[in-house]
Amino acid sequence: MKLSGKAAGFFHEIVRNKVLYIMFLPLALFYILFAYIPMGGIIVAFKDFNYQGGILFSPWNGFDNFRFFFASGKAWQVTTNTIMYNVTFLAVYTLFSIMVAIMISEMSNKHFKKLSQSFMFLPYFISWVVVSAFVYNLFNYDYGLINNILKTFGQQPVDIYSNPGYWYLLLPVMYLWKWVGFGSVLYLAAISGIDQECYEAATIDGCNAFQKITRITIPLLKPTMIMLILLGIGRILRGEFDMFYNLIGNNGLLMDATDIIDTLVFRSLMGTQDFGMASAAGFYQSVLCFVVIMVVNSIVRKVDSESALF
Amino acid sequence: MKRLKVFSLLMSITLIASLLLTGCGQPQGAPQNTTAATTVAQGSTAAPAESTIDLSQEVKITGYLLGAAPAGFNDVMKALNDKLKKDLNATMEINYIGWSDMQSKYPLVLAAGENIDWIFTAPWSFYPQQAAKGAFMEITPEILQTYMPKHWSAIKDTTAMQEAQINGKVYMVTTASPDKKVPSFMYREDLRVKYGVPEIKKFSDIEPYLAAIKKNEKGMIPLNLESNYDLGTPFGALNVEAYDQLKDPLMVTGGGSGLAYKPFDGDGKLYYTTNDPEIAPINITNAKKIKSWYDAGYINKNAFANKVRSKDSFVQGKSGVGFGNSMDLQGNIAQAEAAGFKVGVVPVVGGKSGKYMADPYINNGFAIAAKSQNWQRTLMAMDLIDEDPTYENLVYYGIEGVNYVKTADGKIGLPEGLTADKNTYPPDAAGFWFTNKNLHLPLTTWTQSYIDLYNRIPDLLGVDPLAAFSPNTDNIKTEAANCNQTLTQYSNPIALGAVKDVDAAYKQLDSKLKAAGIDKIYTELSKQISDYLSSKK
Amino acid sequence: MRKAKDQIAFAAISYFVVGIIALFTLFPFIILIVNSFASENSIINNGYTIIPKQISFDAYSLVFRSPETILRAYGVTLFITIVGTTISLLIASMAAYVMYRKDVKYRNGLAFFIYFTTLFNGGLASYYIILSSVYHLKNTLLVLLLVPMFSAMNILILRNFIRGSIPDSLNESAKIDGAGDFTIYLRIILPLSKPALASIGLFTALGYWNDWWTPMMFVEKQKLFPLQYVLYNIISSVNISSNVVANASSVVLPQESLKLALTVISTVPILLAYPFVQKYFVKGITLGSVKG
Repeated sequence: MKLSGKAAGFFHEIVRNKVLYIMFLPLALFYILFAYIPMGGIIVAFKDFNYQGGILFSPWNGFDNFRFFFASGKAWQVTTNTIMYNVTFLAVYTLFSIMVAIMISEMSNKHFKKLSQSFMFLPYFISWVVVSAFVYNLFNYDYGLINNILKTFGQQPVDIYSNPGYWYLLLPVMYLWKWVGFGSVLYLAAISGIDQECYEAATIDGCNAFQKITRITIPLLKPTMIMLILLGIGRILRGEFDMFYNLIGNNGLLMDATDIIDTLVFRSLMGTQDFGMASAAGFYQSVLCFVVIMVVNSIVRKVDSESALF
Repeated sequence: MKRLKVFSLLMSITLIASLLLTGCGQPQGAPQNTTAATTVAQGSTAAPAESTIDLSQEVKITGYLLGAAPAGFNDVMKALNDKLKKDLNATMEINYIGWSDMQSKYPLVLAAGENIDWIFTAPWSFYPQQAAKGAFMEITPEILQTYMPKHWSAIKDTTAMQEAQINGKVYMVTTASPDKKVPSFMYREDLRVKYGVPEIKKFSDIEPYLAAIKKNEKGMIPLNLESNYDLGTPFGALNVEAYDQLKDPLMVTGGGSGLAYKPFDGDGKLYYTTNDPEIAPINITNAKKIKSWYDAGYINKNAFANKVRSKDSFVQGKSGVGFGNSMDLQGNIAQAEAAGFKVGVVPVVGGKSGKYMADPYINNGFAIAAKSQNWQRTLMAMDLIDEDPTYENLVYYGIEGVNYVKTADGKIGLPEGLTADKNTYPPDAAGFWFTNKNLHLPLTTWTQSYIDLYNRIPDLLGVDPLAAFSPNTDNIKTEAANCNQTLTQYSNPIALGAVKDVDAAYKQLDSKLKAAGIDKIYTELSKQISDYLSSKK
Repeated sequence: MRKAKDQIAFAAISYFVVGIIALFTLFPFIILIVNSFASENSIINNGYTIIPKQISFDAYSLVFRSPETILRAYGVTLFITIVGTTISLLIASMAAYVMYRKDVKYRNGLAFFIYFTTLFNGGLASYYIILSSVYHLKNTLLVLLLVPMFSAMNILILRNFIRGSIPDSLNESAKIDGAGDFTIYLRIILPLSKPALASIGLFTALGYWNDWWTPMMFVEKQKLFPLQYVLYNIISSVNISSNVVANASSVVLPQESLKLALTVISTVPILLAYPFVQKYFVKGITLGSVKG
């Protein structure tokens, strides 16, 4: 039997690069076992889950599980909040990580470099539970540190827990605090991969420090930057649940400004333990993320195919 | 795109494969129940039940409790298993589900069904939801008579079995001794006397005390509330004392449905707490009072972010009032008195009835997993744990001589040289809260004020005919979810006094609840309640 | 050599900005360490202070009350971190290399295959049921190793790093010299990817070190508890003991200070190891091998 053109091309490619495809196999196996096979559970979003039936035999209930989210009156609000916060976080994170990475890579004092890098990593280890206790200690109206200082200088104390406005600034700052260490390591590693000879050639040509950064470092960092931004965009609908849950909690006064999809869903489903509804919310986020990344990725691919995610 | 086509083909294959696999992984729940029924049929025809139970096969029982294992847990389990092996030719292994993981892990452990015989359950620990999903085995009086005779005789004349019914069937083994507790608050009696504040007999009397604290004690906040338990408590206490207790049938801490019934009226009629002509004005008056306290600085401004409970900061002298219930305040009372404070404790009971709802029998208990292979031996073991003093003391207090000693006057105390904070197995910490507390001895550490309170409590308890009613939310799950999150967002600030205009806030809450579908819940639950009550007649 | 003026200006700005950020990130941690040695009373009374009003080792003595448990937990964590990270880096870098090679026709399909798993997932119930009932992974060391092993994001970042630092000409010249694909990977790509491997390796190791979710879901046997989970349990049981009905302790148990002590205990080992990894982020490698 003669193989058709497409199938023949497929096999030809596999055979030609068989060593490479075999090298890819262990990873593929892992993802099939631990990601793709469990993925079947996504149908729970459309089912009225009970234990007798399990995932397969529980009765279907169409889009019922999705109703609570869209009937909450807050669906649009939390979706835009989630996107807005994630975009802000991504922008701030990218900007500062690149800036810090470039600065550190240019530093000559080894001790300063190592120490500052280690310090910037510390927030990663501090859980949001502890962070929220810190913030409370600093900012609480009655005896927080900041308000004590303000009162000593005769100023009015600030009440951040009753006024949403502060959080538009506070949240990005805290996000940055937690992740700048991580981000700068990533970009530093990318900078380390740049061939030194480029810089030496630039010096010979008479470039100064700033020009070296703008003409060499940043352009060569572009692929990494684009990729990390793409990865961030792929998560644009998924909020930082831990952060919002621990910092805002059930503070109704702040919720309109700070509710994200994940916190709304969590609060709504607290009493019911309904797998179907939880799954439906996750499905909503997945579908939106999928659409966004497919669109953005294909745009990037048209402009510069090597920079695209896939 | 070619890539997408190949990809979607691969996806469909793996999806189908995964569905088949998960199907294989799902054991059948139904056959278990018929096994139980047939065994029961055999069991009930045999006269002396024990003699027909075969103990020759050694059996391993697996159970789940809530919380975390105390430090001395392994030693206690060893001792427990020595006894179980001797008495029942069985050994038990207990795993814990942490408080913070309850939401996710509790249903998963049951859904997977691997290796699980029994699990702690209660209405506040997902009993109605899981029973409705078929996670538990049915428990009939015959089963209890056969395999848990001691426990059966302790509960057979009580309302326990009735309370545990879900759609006419019972799926858990309740405790024989429901907790006798009433929400209470404590205040500084020494400061009250010092500043000449009149006696405090109920929470509504507290305002002069709060003013005195605010004026004279600079380092203390009169009501230093925490974000979860304490937040709505002062508001709730004022309401309860104003008319009587109200209970939300879909009660969730900080949330719920916005509807309520009056337990002591007994008719199960539902009221809209936000616009009922009788209830709402009282709520609004109390909300305004709380707001005046908030504005005057009697309440901490940022309670939403405070994670330290008022009863704990009370002990440190940072709060003028501590909230809890008549049982869990006991430790704090002891600590406060050790710090030199004089403490007054007042239970919060309904203004009209003078009572508070008693905890139902189902408030602590355990259930048998539907897929359990050794449910008979499990029940027999639990009978011993629940009702046999030698077992009870072991799982509750630990190892005699190591974790506790029995004093000459019949109390439980600590052995020589051991302080409470070094005890590797504190009472209650292990999670066996369903054992028969009527068999427990008093502790040496109970202070007089605690004992006085403890003795007053039984007179303050009333029975709620709907105590064991578990609503079926299948038809209203969307509305329940939305009312819950609406209440969390809009009613908590009112309860704290943090809103700018109470009347406007109530109107807003009312309209938001309407939009969330509260009317549908009203219709559905009213029907369920009246069906429930008539079925009990 | 005389330093150019622009270089000095840039250096000044750099040290200043990075210094501020470093202080901003360091300061809370210092407060954290200091207050982990404060008594519970002191924290409830005064909040977090720079110098604790009352020093107490209660939190630490509570944690180390049964040192065997902690030591064993450290052992488990060390094992899964080292073994897991090594295996993960090997397999991930291989896959990244395959996706980097321009002559692999389906390289974008492979990347999509991996990336797709971050978009959709079947939910917790399905994951749990399959891993425990079908794969029987509960209570095994294997589950602690496998669950956190791969992150699609890390693998794609690795691919990009390799793209950025290894020119195609290197592959071609190696092929001309007769090297097979795997040999190229082993002898050329791996050694030249040190910064990438170091950073991704660090992130993977941190993932293992901090993982408490996997043991919470899948491990019930105490002897397999890794460090984070043991610490997490300690704090849970203290929380219960404080709210427990019949506990008549007139001593206040450390809760707030305990949270801080736990953070310190789990962080210090990593901090000690971090400087060793840092040296790989040195600026610049000279690819002299390309010439000639």
